[in-house]
Parts: sequence; C-alpha cells; structure tokens
Amino acid sequence: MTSWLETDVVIIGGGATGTGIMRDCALRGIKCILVERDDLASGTTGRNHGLLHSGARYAVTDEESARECIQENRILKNIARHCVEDTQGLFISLPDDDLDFQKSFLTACGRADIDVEQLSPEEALRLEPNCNPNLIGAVKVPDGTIDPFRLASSNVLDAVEHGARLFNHTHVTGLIREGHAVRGVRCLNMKTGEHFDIRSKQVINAAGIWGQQICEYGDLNIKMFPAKGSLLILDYRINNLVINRCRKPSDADILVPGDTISLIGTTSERIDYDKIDDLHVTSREIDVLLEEGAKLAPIMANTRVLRAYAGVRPLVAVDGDTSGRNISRGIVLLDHAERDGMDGFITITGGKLMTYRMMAEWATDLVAKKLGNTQPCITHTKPLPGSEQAQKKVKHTASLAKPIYQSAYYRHGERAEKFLKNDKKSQAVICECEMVTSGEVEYAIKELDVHNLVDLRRRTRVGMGPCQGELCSYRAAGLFSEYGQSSGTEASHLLSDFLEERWKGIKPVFWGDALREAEFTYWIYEGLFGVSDIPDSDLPPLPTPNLDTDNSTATQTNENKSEVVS
Amino acid sequence: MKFDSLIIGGGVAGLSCAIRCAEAGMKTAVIAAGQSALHFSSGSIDFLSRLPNGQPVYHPMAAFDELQQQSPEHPYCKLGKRKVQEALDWYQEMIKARGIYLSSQEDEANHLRLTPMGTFRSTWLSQQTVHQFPLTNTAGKLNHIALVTIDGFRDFQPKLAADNLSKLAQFKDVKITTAAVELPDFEEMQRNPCEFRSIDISRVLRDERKLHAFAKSMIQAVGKADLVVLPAVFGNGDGAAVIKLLEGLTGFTICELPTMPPSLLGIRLEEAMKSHLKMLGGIILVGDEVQRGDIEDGELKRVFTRNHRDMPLIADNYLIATGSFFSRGMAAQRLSIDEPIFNLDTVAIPDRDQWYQPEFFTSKAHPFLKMGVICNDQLQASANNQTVDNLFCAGALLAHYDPVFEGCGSGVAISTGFHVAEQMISKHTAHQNQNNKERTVA
Repeated sequence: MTSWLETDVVIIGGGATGTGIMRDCALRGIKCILVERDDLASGTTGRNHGLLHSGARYAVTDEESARECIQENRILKNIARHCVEDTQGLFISLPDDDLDFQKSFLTACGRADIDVEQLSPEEALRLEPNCNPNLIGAVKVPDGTIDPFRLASSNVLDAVEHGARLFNHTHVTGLIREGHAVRGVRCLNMKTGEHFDIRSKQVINAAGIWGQQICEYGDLNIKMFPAKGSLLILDYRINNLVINRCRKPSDADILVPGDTISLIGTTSERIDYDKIDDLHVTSREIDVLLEEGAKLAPIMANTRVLRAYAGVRPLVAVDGDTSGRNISRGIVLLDHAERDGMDGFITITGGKLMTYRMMAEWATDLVAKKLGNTQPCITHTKPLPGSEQAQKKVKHTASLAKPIYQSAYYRHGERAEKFLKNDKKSQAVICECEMVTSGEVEYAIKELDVHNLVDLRRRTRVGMGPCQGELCSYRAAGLFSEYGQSSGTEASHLLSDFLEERWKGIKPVFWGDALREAEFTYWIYEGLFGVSDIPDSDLPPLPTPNLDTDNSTATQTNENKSEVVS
Repeated sequence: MKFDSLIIGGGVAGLSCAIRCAEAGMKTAVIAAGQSALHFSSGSIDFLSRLPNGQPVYHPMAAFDELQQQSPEHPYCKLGKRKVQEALDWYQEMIKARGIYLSSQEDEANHLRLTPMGTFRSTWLSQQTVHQFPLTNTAGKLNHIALVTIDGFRDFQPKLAADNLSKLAQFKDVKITTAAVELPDFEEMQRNPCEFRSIDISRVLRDERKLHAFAKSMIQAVGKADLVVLPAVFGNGDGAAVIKLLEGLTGFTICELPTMPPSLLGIRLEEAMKSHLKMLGGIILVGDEVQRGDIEDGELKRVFTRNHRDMPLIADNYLIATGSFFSRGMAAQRLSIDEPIFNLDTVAIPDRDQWYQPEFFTSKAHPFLKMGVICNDQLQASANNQTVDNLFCAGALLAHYDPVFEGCGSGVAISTGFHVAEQMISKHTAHQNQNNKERTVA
C-alpha cells in the first residue's frame, strides 16, 4: 500500500523558482510541499555565472528583461544580503569593438532605468586593475554576484519555518489524475526506495528544463529547446568587479568574481532534449572560453582552471510552436486549466535566475487566486533568513579566529549564531580553503536538508576551494557518521561519490595544476586509502525511477482510492 | 661547485641513489626542492602488487616473466629481476642501520596493510609498527581489533574503517570496536587540539608525562583487544620507539596506520635516509631547485639553480629524479607534456581525452600515470633523440609504469635509484683507475 500525504500545493523542482514559490506560498499561509529529484539548486539554478544582473546586458536587445533585472537587482540587494555581493560591474570596449555600440548601450540603459556611469579607460583600470589594459572605453553598471545555492537554501529555510515541507532526493514519477484534473503527484524517495503519494489541490511544475517531462505525465504538450552553456571556474578571484564585453551578447563575454574564485562563461549551444542529463564540456568550448576570457582579463591566461561545468537554459516554444523559431527567453506562466482544460496544474518556466522571485510571485498569485487566498505577496520586502545583520556577535574567544567567524557570517548571516559555539570540537576547521568548521557542517546536516557531501558543498562551500576537497571530504564524511544517520560504510560511499562528482568537473580541464591536484588526490585516496575497495553498503541499491509516462498506474490508484486512504 | 654525482630530487629515488654513491665514497649532493612524496605515503615499500592487466601478484619475484610479457618497457624489465632484488635487499639493510626494520612475509609474498578506510592494499615490505595481514587467511588468529583515534582528530576516522572492515567475509567473526582517547590537557591547550594534524599530536606525546597519561586513558577507553590500531601520530623519526614504550605502558599490541598528510610513517623513512646520507658525508641542498642545464655533445655539462643563480653546479654524473606531475618533475600543458628542466624526451598520449578514465575510482588504470620521461636500459635520458651519457633518470618521472595501479612506486624508485648509483660508481671507479694508470705511466 502506498503511503500518502496531503497539502494544498505541490511544487515540483528545487531550483530558484521552485524554492521561491515555496517561500511565497508559505508566507501567504498556503500549505505546500516541494519535491526535488536531486538537491536544491542542483540543476540550472546552480549552473550559471551567479551574476546579479543589472539588466545592462539586455538593455539594447530586450528592454523588458532589462527592466525586470534592475528591479529584482534592487530587491535582492535588500532581501538577500548574505547571498549577494554588490561588486559593481564594467562593460568594457576593446579595440575590436564598436564604440557606437557603447553609445546605444548607454541610451538603452538610461531608458531601462539602469544607473550607469561612463568611465575613461584609466578610471576603469583603477577600479579593476586586471581588466584588459587595451580597453578603449568602459561603462560602470550596478552588477553584482549572487550565490544561487545559498539563495535556494534560504528560501527553503524560511518556507519550512512557515510550515512548508521539503522532499529533496525524491523523484516525481507521475501525476495523480482524476479525469481532467491533477490532484497530486506520485513520488519515489531515492534514498529509501519508498514510493508515496502527495495529494494536493494544485500542482506547480517549476522543474525548468525538466518540466517538459512533467507535462508529459499529464499528456500535455510543451516543447522545450535546451541550450547548453558551459563555464570555467578559475582558482583565484582575479577580478573584483564583474567584467562584461560591451557588444552584442556572445560567447565567453562575462567574467564574474564569486567568493574565492572567478567564473568565465558562457558558451551557448543547442542540444537535443534527451541529452539534458548528460552534459559534457567539450575541448572546443574550453578553447573558446580561455581565448575569449583572456581578452577580458589577460591574467586569465596564467590562472589555473579549477573545473568546468555546464547548465541548460530552459527556452520554451510558445503558442504550440514546435520548430523552435518562436522561442521565449522571458517568463512563461502556463495555466493548464485555461490552456489545456487540465485543472489543478500550472507550469512556470523560462526566465532567469535574476527574476526567480518575480516568477515565484506570478505563479503564487495564480495559485492563490485558485485557492481563494487573498494574502498579498511580501517576498520583495521581507528579508530572507541570514540576510539580517547579526544582532549580537558571538563572544569571540582567542580560538575562534576572525576568518572563521567572518566566513560563517558571510555565508549564513545572523543564522551563524546557531553554530558558532564556544567549544573546541565545533570550532575545528574542516575545510581550510573555505574556512568551514565542524559546527557549520553539523548545522547543515541537521537543519539544512543535507544528505550527502555534494549537498553539503552547496550549503557550506566545503570542497569548493583550490584543493577541491582534498582533505576536507574525508573529514566531512566522518562527520556524517557522527552527526547524520550514516553508517561508516555509507559515509565512505558519500566520500567516493563526492570525489567522483568533483572528477566530472576536472576531466575537461585535465592539464596543468588541475592534473597535479587530481594525481595527488588519486595517490591519497586510491594509493594510500584504497577507496575503490570500499565494500557495498547495507542499503538496498539505489532504485531506478520507473518514470510513468502512461497513465495506467495513475488510473489504477483512483480505482483503489478507498484502499489507499485507509 | 663540483661533485662526483649530483642528484636532482630528494625523494626515495634520489636519496637511494645518493646514499649508495656516498657509501662508495663519492662526493655526492642532493638538490631537494621541498617535501617529497614520502610525506603522503604509507611508509611501506610496494614492490609489485598488480600486473598491468590488473591481475593481483602473490610473489613479486615470480611475476617478472609475466611483467616482461605485458610491459617490456617497464623500468623493472630494464633492470631485470636480479638487480631489482639486489637493490631492495640493499635498501632493507641500509635503513635497518637507522632503526627501521622493514620486513616481508617469510615466503617473500606480498602482504596486506590496513588502510584508514578499512580496506586493504597489497605491499611487500612494512615497518615493524605496521601489522602485516597475510594475503590468505587475512584475519589470522585475531579475535578483537580495536580501531582507536585521538578525540577530535580529523585525519583518521575509525568508524568508517571499522564498518568497512567488518563487512569483509574474512573478518565476520572478528570483533571490531572503535574508541577515542582524549589528549592529556585537552582543555588547557592554547591551539585547538581538534585542529591538530598528525605531526602536532606527535609533539604533544613526545612529553613522557603526557604519554603516560595518554596510555592510562587508552587502557580505559579500549578495554581489551588483540590488536590496537592507532593512526601514525608518534615520534619525530623515532615513532617505533615511542610505540614500543606505549605497548609497555598499556600491555596492548599496537599497530599504526598512515593518516591524511602528513604521514609520519613516510616521513620516518625520509628522515632516516636523510640522516644516513649526511652521516656518510653527502650534502643536501634543501629548498633549492634546478632551473636549467647545458647539454653539449650528448653530455650534461652544468646545471643552474634558483639559489646559486649564475654559479653553476658541475658533476661527472647527474641523476634527475624530480618525480611526476604533482612534484613538478613533469608538466602537463593543454596539448602536450614536457620535462621542464632539460626538455628531455617523453612519451605522451596525444589526445588529452585519453589521459584518464571516465570514472575516478575504477578497476582500470588512468593512462596519464604512465606518461613520463623515456630512458634506455642504462636509465640514461635523451634530449632531441640523442642520449645524454651522464644524465640518468629514476623514480616517478619515468614513463611506462603506474605506481598506484601496479603497486610498485617505492620499489621502482629504490631499484632505479640504486641501479643508477651502481653505474655512477663503476664509471667513477673506471675513471679513477684510468687516472691512476696515467699517473703511473707518467
């Protein structure tokens, strides 16, 4: 017998949009459950530049997007201070670029209400000494950076504190349908292999590029056109201001600083829909990123590349177009009751990380209307947990070094007080690159829905630094058996899975220091520690979700309803 | 400065070669850039644990014919079985003089050493403080193993090891427990003891009063066990003596496991080799690095180092034993690999996508580990396809073998280092005899 839960709204997808809807619903008093097949921000949300757009990039080509960006830019700087760095950005013109473009750029920014300041090359170089000294012009814009992992996690944290529930590592295997209505989702817990149902009045499909599959469960036809974008992470923070190229958007024309590193991207390449879970960064993309990136900041040519990764933009064909010509890059909100006569089902997709909150607001407005909820949206004014200034700083003992508590406040804002304790064990640094303490790891495992080392990396930056988890992954694995539910063998597998996941990003840039570091990791973990011989865990092998694309099982559920309910 | 032999690289290969040369009375210097790979090694000597095709090796000595078949260019095949054996025998004797007793199984088979993950790696010689688990009947007569750590120590996690070990069929009847022992004066320490690395703990326990207190807590925390496994956190080169003392104080049979770096078991070997070399009159130029050298007419004439700038170092014979990529003996570019000091001839795989396996932990070898410098059967290097007669190579920068997958890193380092020394010695002796003869004639 399948166990089941009941709620008002089920949200599918734990990216920025889904977690934003979760928070918006919760703050309006709407009961909701979010289901995510992997972890928060593990899809497109966590696979981009982490650029807090000023909108300037879109000003010339798409004024509407530009306006949305600058509006949300201002909101996020207020409500998500711990996720945002107000670095400012430059749009530089190089000798190959047309200064006429700069002129129309300035005009367009003005039209979209984006504060810009034209700088001389000398002024630009004073602000950002690492940008290409051959520049012929520059414009300063209110760009910044945003940490998408912290953003998604903070949205969830607030939602959960307002009564919502999260199931990460849970696949949606089908929709529960009653005639022309969707009445919930069927789920598979990937950790335990358990199947369960969630009954709800409304289901919101916020699964991004994976939303096409979700729609297929309801026999709804939505055509998505996945566009792969690849990026490289550099070992140092080589720039303090975002550096953009002042020309029509093109490959590898944005260099973004982020915490301890910098990011160069992106490329853009159409891929087949069946390849969205099998992304590879090609050697050609690497070449383009390195060559074009070095034009923005020549120092990049001598900087170690830490890893490469790729994300998929969820571009949607509108109005039943299947050719891909009529593609929307903007926000797409589909009320399937209206569009397809399918009650209780909404799709929100398209858009950008920048506009996640606005997308969430639109989707929540729609669902609230259907549920008869009249509470207003407050997500644009109410700060996220962690965004408030710490009330009282923890008593700093001599043993709690400044870089440790500063990193903690930087990542968790006032919430850092929950784990900055005056005891030696919790103060011990686990990840020396990113200054993550044992206490922060314990807090993440116990309170931030962390189930493995990859989740932990997203919440705390463990293993994101130059060593890519050399020492800390073993130490943190130990903490999973101490503070989490993992046995020693499970914790060992978490370790090898984590190093395997890191390896995916290292392979495309396997030369120079990345090769050296990987060789060292291999000596330690294979040569010294014998990781490839870890015995199988006691847990049953991970289930393969039997994705239910026909409706036979769903129908069956309806017939057996009384049995299920009892 | 002029030497009989100049060794570039202070790892196992370089030090082995230098010690052998110094033993023979040659004026020998080692240029050591920094810490060697011994700082993150097991401190056991791997000879040959697996053949290139993955087949496990029981008796390394008996596997030479098969190795010759599978990998004729392997450094072992260049030397031949007799010379490899001679080198490893020599190493055992040499290091014994410094109080480290390396031994193999009685029948000269490989044995297993326990890893910090509770898995096993096959090796050939282990130090006296390491428990040798036989390849067959691995658990032997052990009924109860206690895996013990220092409370708060991050770099050894006994619970992971215990759970994994207890899952092995051979250990299903063995009781496996874990315990954590607090360091004496834990609360009073200025630095957070939970951030100590192995070497910091060794400094605390060097204080005999604290070692006694530690022994007391250990008896309480552990109770009874046939074998107590501790992370290698003892001694400053004299760890074996400290463990002997601790065994006396506790009554336990104690064995050590290497930890996350620094590995004191490996450092112990390095310290022993360095002090032995110095005792023999060898010179170690610490923290210096060779930047370039002049090769003329197939001979290396001189090298220049960072610290000595334009003052050349000159020798009759040179060894390059600068290690692989991590140690910067080799450098990998986006499209090629090279040996950065002399630009020696290398073997590389042209397509970078073929340098590695799709999965990091796999039953297959990663091909990049076999890339390196080419040498002839005399281990002489070549540049632009011309042999450099007085420049030899040894250890991890050599091509055609995989130290991790084949489990042969230290064995290759010792035997190639030793064999280079033997050739340097015979060249030196011939040269001296020649001089003497000329003098007599004159």
